[in-house]
Amino acid sequence: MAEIPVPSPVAVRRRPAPSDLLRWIFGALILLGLGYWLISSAVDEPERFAQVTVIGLSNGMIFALVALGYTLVYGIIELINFAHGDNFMLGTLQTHSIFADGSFQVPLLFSTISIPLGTAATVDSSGVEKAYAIAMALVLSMVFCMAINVTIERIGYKPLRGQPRLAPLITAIGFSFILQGIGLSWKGEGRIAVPQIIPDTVLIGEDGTLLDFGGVPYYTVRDLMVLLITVPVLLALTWLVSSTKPGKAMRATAQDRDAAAMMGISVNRTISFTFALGGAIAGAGGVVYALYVGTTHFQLGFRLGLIAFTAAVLGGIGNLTGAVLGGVLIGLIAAYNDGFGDARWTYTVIFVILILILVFRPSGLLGERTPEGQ
Amino acid sequence: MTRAEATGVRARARGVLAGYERWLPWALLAVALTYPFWYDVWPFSYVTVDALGLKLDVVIFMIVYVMLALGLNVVVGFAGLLDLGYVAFFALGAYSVGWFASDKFSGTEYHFLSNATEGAAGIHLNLWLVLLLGGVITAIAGVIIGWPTLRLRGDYLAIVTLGFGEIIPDVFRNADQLPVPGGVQGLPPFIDFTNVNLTNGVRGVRSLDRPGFGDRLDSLTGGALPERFSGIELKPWYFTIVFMVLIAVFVIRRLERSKMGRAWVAVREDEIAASAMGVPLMRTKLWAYGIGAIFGGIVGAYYGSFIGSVFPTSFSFAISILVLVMVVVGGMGNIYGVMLGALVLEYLNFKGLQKIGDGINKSIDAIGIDLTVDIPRYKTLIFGLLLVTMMLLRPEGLIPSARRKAELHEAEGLPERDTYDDLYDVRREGDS
Amino acid sequence: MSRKRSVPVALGMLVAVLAIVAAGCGGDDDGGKTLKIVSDLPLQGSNLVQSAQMVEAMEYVLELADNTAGDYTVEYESFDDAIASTGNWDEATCASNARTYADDESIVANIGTYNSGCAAIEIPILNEAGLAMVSPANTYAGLTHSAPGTEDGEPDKYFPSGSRNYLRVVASDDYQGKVGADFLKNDLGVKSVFILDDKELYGKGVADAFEDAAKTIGLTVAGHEGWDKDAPNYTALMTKIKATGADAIYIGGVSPNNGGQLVKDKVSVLGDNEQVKLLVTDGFVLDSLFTDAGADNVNGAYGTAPTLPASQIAGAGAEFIDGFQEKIGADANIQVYTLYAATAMQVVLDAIARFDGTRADLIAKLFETDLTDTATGPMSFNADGDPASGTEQLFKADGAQKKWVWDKSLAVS
Repeated sequence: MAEIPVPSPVAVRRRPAPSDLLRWIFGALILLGLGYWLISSAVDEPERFAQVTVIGLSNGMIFALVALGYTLVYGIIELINFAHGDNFMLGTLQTHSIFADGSFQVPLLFSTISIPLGTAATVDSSGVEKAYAIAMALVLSMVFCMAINVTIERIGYKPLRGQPRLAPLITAIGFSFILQGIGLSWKGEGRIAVPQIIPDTVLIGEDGTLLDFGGVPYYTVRDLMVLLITVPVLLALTWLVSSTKPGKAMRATAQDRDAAAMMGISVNRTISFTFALGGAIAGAGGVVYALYVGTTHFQLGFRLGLIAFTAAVLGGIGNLTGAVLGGVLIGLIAAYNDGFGDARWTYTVIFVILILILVFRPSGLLGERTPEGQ
Repeated sequence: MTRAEATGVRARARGVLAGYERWLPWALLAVALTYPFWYDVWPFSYVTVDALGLKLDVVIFMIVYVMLALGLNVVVGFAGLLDLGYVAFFALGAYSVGWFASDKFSGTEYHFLSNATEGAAGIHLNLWLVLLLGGVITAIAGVIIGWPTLRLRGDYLAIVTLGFGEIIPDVFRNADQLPVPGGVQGLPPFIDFTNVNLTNGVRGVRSLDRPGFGDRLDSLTGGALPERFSGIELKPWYFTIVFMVLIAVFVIRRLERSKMGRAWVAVREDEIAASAMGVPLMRTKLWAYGIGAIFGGIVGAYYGSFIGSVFPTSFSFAISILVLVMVVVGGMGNIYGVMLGALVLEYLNFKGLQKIGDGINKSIDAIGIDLTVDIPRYKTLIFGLLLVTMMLLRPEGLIPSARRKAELHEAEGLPERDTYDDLYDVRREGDS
Repeated sequence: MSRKRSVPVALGMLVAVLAIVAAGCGGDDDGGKTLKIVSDLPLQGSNLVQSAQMVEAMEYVLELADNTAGDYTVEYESFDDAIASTGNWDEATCASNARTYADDESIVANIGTYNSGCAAIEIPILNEAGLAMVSPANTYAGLTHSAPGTEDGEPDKYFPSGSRNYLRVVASDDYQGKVGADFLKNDLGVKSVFILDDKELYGKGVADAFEDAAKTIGLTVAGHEGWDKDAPNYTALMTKIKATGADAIYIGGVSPNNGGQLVKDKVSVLGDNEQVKLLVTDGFVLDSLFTDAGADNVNGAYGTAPTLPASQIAGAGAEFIDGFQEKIGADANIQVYTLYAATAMQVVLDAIARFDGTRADLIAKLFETDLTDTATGPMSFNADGDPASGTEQLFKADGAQKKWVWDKSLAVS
């Protein structure tokens, strides 16, 4: 998978300092403990371990979709786009409109423009109706989030380019709040149940339609659906970044904005394009989340965004493969802690990981050492 | 308005307001020191209480945020370290009252110069000491958090502090059953964990002690310096927090002009250059972070005692952001700016938006339109708009610090970015 | 933007704000025998439906009483103790409200609060002011008496003056936990139960009380964990519960904390509520749960609540309910605590009719309350300020009708 390299300074070889050694020992101890815990859980309850792994993988792929948006934008302009998680949240709300009300909605403050499409669907709808609803949800939600992201970039981030880094970062926090406010005025403060149009049919495992070898249900249609949407999106994105002209422009802009501009690359357009791409992934993520989880909320984006950002950092920010890897790892860790540890501490565990990664290996698992990390 | 005109106008405006820094603080101080005596007297009360809702406890909450904003300003404004988890120190300060001045640890009984009931269970230290202790605890926490993380710069630091800000309330919430290594066992994982109740979890620590001046001063002053602050008579509380702010302003102004203060600015402006000039980066940053933490801790302890209870749910990310918005809107790096920002925004947050909403609804009602606008409901939206507008139009804040302003308007003086901007929009044939 | 321009603009805005704010204020002060009752409820977010109806019920009681009690004219004002950004009660607002009541000599009683945490802040302040407080919804036991799960020093630490000023018209959590445990063991024949709570004051309190009661009567507690309301889903947590072999789950908490998702994931991993029983507390006994979790997933669940359903109240209470239902419209569902707010108002009005005009005497008269026909039936208090006869009711979820159907009364022993 391709990666958007973050500009890095000339590497300086250093002799390993004693503190580095300490860090390695500490890191190794943590990994050993983690490994021991996982292996012993797997040996004790292999069936449940497999089941929890599947849950973790599916959740992780959703985190990965959101993490990709952070990593794309960070890769190109080194900005933590705090509003991204909330944009994803608006994607889930749009999916709710499409499935529950059968219409595409444009939220304005205190009123909503509604374009009926006849996409309302329930679990009992026919296959054609469902396919139409999901296709419309994917396309429209992607366009919707894309539009939001590009607008934010144009209004908020572009005028601040070249200013101290705090400025766009604070603006990003501001936009995150604005999007939450829009979500609140659009659907209210309660939890919103999206119609579950994909059945919970078991494919592999107990009473599985594909493979039935008893035990517990391992793999359901919903898990498959996450895979069927996420993987093509990832492949398309990789192809886009690595093999197309705009992708090349993105990589060049990420490397050196000024040099890219001198080579005739329209930097502004490339950055807008990146934001559009990030928005589209947020939209797709919103649909997948709505289909798989089914409950959303106007504050969903904040917490989930932080988790996804952790995933991006874990994998190495700016690195697309890293974001996916990080997302899946975070999903697995959360699921293992829910399933074998204590669910109360899951969120704390995720943030401790974030801090440890930033402190011990700021470049993440796959990323390069960035000037930020030094 | 052209740039030249704007500069001219600005210069004239500066002439009118020249020296405001000299008299304004004293005038404001006079208002602050006399406020409890006239705010509820008739002609004034119409504005202060009836119209604005500025009762004494509301003002106390506003000043609590002034302290928080002053503390965060040291970190963000002076040293340029974006801290998104400042609420952690506020929480830690409040919990130190819970630990050292309440019946939380009812298994023990230890009193030290305390005005708590004789023989009450738990640890009861003198509250003035606990306020200081809150500062010490948060300073230590600040150093522990800062030591490994301050090597990171900019947005990475922001994220790590955000992580801490998110973890700490969560830990307080779950730490009624905090697993701590309690011994060794023969089987893996070899450590035997026992659950310890550190924070009472969601139930919070309640009935915290209050400050006081002792029997003798109480009887000498006829209750003006009470033996134990009352929950109803708020003047002692008010003067306590006002004096805390005065001390804070004094300390911060001295720090700002000290060697350390100049080192902070150097680090903020250009780390590499500062380092080359011999400024010890880590130590400088750590001092800023630690001092910021101390203010958060002391005021947290005050707040805990004033409310009388601490709950983990009170310390959300929203507070970190609110304080940051105060610093940004007021003017990063300018202590008068952040004080103004804190007063205005906490007022709007706690009372103002509600009052404005009520006013608007009554006005609409009077016209005869049947519509209610729930202004406080859109507080996040309003604050978000405020942040974005501020950053776009006046990134230096309401009362900017001169240096910050120059820095943020660098682009205006040096046209290189504009030139690049033209270049960035180059469009080439076939470039899709 | 120049300073010259922005100063007048800012001043203009300030004047405009002041004008708007001033327009919103009308201070009228009547002397004579006018008293004021306030209520203190969270009027934001997901609490709004319940609290707004409680306010309506109290206003209706006053309307029926013609705003008089004995020789006094009674005014009523509703205060909000929540903040918009979280939608929940806020400690600073609670403290500030309490001081407002304490300062205002015309206020004789506070009907509130909804949340026990907020009550823990308000009671001590009002206690110093000697002002009566009657809660229609606080269920944390430690506010009035010590019980399993309460702390050392409770409830005395809330009453610094040494005398009580707080009463409540609902039974506390320790009863709810206890009858829940009895019901699971004796009526459903459950052997082992897994407990979940929403990590909030109410949910954790009732879950702790349940755990304690379950252990006492010999019900195996397979585990007790908290769920994170911001987690995307709970399937992994449910696999763990499945592995413990528990044949029932007890949920303490309020359903707005992602309860719909929790119930949905429970059914998808553990099977329907016949296979593995589900018992929830009154924070889940809301009709909204059927939309949040899907009606089929809730079907067959049981719920306990310390409140009598409207259909089970006879006499004057029934008349009141009919009148109130007419007022709010036949379609509106009467929420769990609505009638208790009405009861609290009736209790306060009754005491006002008998008191001598001082705050202290009102408290004394409140403790002497002996009403036979409130909106929730007979009401009198014990020395702790708890209702003399607590009630716990059992409801069963009916997926087809999408509502909680009253099943039976559970004995409080």
